[in-house]
Amino acid sequence: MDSVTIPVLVDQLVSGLAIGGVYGLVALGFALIFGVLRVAQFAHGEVYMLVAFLVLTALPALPLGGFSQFGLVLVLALFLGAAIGLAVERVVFRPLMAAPHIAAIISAIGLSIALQYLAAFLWGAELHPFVLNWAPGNLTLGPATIPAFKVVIFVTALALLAGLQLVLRRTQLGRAIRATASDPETARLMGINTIRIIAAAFAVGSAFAGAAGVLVAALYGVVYSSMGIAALVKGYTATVIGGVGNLVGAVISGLLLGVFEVLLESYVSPKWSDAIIFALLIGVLVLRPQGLLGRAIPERL
Amino acid sequence: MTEALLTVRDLWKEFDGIQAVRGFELDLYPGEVVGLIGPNGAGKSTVVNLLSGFHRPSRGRITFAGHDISQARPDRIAQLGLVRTFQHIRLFSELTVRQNVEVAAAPRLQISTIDVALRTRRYRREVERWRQEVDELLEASGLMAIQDRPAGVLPYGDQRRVEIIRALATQPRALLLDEPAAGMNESEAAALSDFLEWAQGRYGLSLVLIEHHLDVVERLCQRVIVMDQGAIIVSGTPEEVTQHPEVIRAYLGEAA
Amino acid sequence: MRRWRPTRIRPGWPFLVLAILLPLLVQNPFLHRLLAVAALEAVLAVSLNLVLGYGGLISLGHAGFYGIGAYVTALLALHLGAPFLVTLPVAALAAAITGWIFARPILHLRGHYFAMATLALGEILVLVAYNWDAVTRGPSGLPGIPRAELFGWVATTHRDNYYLGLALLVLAIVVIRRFVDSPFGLSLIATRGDDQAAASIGTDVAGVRTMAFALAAFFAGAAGALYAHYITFVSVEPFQLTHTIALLAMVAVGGIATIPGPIVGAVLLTLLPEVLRGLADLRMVLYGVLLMLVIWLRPQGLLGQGRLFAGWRGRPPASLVPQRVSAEPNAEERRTQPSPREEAGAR
Repeated sequence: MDSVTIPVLVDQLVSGLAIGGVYGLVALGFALIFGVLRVAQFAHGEVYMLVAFLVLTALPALPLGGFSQFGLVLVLALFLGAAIGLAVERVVFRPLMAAPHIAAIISAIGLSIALQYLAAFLWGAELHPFVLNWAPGNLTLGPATIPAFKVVIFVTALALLAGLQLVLRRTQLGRAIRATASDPETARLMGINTIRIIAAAFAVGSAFAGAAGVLVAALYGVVYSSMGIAALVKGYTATVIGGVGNLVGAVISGLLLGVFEVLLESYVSPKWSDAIIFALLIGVLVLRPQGLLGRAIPERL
Repeated sequence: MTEALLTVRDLWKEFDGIQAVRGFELDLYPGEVVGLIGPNGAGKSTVVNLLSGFHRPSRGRITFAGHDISQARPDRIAQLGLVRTFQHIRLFSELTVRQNVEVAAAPRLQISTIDVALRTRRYRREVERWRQEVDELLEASGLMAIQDRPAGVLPYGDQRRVEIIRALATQPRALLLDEPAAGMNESEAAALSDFLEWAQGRYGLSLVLIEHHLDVVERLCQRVIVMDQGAIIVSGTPEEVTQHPEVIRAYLGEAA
Repeated sequence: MRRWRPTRIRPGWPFLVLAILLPLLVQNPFLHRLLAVAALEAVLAVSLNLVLGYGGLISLGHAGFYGIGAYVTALLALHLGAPFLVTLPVAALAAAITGWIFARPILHLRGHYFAMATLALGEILVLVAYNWDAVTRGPSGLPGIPRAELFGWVATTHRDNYYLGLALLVLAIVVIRRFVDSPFGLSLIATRGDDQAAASIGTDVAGVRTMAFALAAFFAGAAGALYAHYITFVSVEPFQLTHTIALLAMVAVGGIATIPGPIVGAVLLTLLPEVLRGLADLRMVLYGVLLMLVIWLRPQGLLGQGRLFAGWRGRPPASLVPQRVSAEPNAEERRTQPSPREEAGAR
């Protein structure tokens, strides 16, 4: 266990923000789909995993090095994620639109299992190193020296989130998505074309999952076929803490979750940090059923 | 003079800075029928939600049959004998008419999980009593003929009657009816009035009736409370109230 | 006398006779092993269905209760030398009590929040088992649990353990069916349809849900006890989220909110990977695809009924609910009501 010094603490906070940024991206994607559909996309983690593997496969073919490689990888991940998301929506969710929700959930679970084992079949079930041809070195921040790459990841995540916020607030499609996410029934009654909104949410949400997948792969330097499960659990947790339908809440919870996790691992116990987080989650749910950041909406009668 | 069954004192409710109910007061006596009228958004439904425990009051005190129910849960309030219906009918649409009524009669059964698992003699006795109670109620209300139909597919008027019978199956002492005649035409509303009058007389109930059909109110209610913008503006007999200039302006002006 | 039966009971006897005779007729230890596993999975699926199907609550921690049963059994047997007739009820009660204590504060939560809370509970249970080395020996697990013994008879073979599992399954079916067919079960189904309406007529929503949740945990814990004595080794793998997800799939594939559905789902999904074994590494891919295909062809599950069904939010999805009439009812729906006053007066 580390002793508390300013440089160490700064390093940990940056690590926490980097991983928190990744969680935020996963959570926002999950929350977006969850919001418009009100069904948990149980294969969301597999989109994240699959994009990381596809990008890993494409890496040798990417001609560039340095920062432009990083940029290209990110754009590629966003596009791959969006494409996979649209396909998932078409194949798994749209045919079951009129079916009970549990049917869509089980279908997504089937997809998740199939994709996970397909990746293990195609690439192997072991850990695969994921190394970008770019090493930005260290940054000096007062007394602390921190790996610049972690800052890049955090900034990238924030930039993506901010970009989406802009789209959601300023464009007509974005406003329709937000309206649907906060109240699908009313949105439908207001004449919003929910089918189009759901497809858009899948494309955007899955693009973010794809970006999160390559960022986390670059951060930890590995890719593996079962990496999606942890991402799903973290994204789901952040969505619920943020309050269903509250997209900004999901992002903030994702960031908090990352920072909190790193601090718990460093100062309390690396073994018990997950258990403590889940116990706190239950506490939050009991005391604030609408989520930590959710607004208490009077029950509809 | 008998004691009031339901007493409400200085009841307030605020939502996000908006005062939905401002200082509501009520004394409901056994067997009394009180009408609650006012324009849309006057706070009538909020009062019902507060009295039935679905909303927590911001301030004030609600007493029913000697119990302070200001902070009580909805199921507890219903078990004490104060039962509400909903403005938009909320039957268990996938259950049959009979099952809807049975659910309401179930909480009074004296059985435990052990009785259920072992099918003890007490269990069989209680279930037998339960079925008979429901039979009697269905018989008396004329719903026996449609008892096996899924509640969700019934015509509107029948759904209203099932909802009221379901409330009666709890053996309440007072009912809070939130616009039972909403969406009905004159003759349907009159039929509903017959039905309510019968139920009220037969079971000796107190009623709080929110209603826009003034003929229903005039026929059933001994006393009428008029609300506007969260507050009581007038109360009195139906004749007094409908003559009152403020009522004519605030309520009839809009409704007419 | 009329009796309502939401479970639509089919005569189960022929199937029980078949289930008893099958391993006697087919002397194949491999089949016996599959049957023994399938029986335990069926107990888990049937009990999960009480909460999921009839209660309309997605529980993502069911395998955790299975784990409580298994670990309690292992610890009692290894440290205290407790016999099977002690470990079985204690394990079941331990799981039920955990479920009951845990359920009380969280059962007022709606759909997703409830699912999340149960997921967190399941993860905590797994993490405790994994990290509490002093008691559970962490990742290395607890080996050397004795076989189940009943009055001198020891369940050594796969077939013996299959019969124990089958006996537990029969008990679970009888008790859960009685619960569902009782006034409690009807109240539970009502809360699934509309919990506020149920509360408005005095139904103790949290109470009836807690009962269902604890009863489901009870049978999961009992299954865990059988598992521990059968495999004679306990570690965290079978109690993780992935197993709960497989159980959800069994319930959904077989037919949610039916009694035979989860059993059929458990048997099919236990056998399926074995049938696909020839495909080696691709078998789980095909398993996932077949899961999707079944749901695509029959969203309500193989034996599902469609009507008696609640969606993810604990309410039937809007598409399944007949439109509520809010303004003018259709003219053809209007009916003159028989005057109740006249009927009452005529008596």
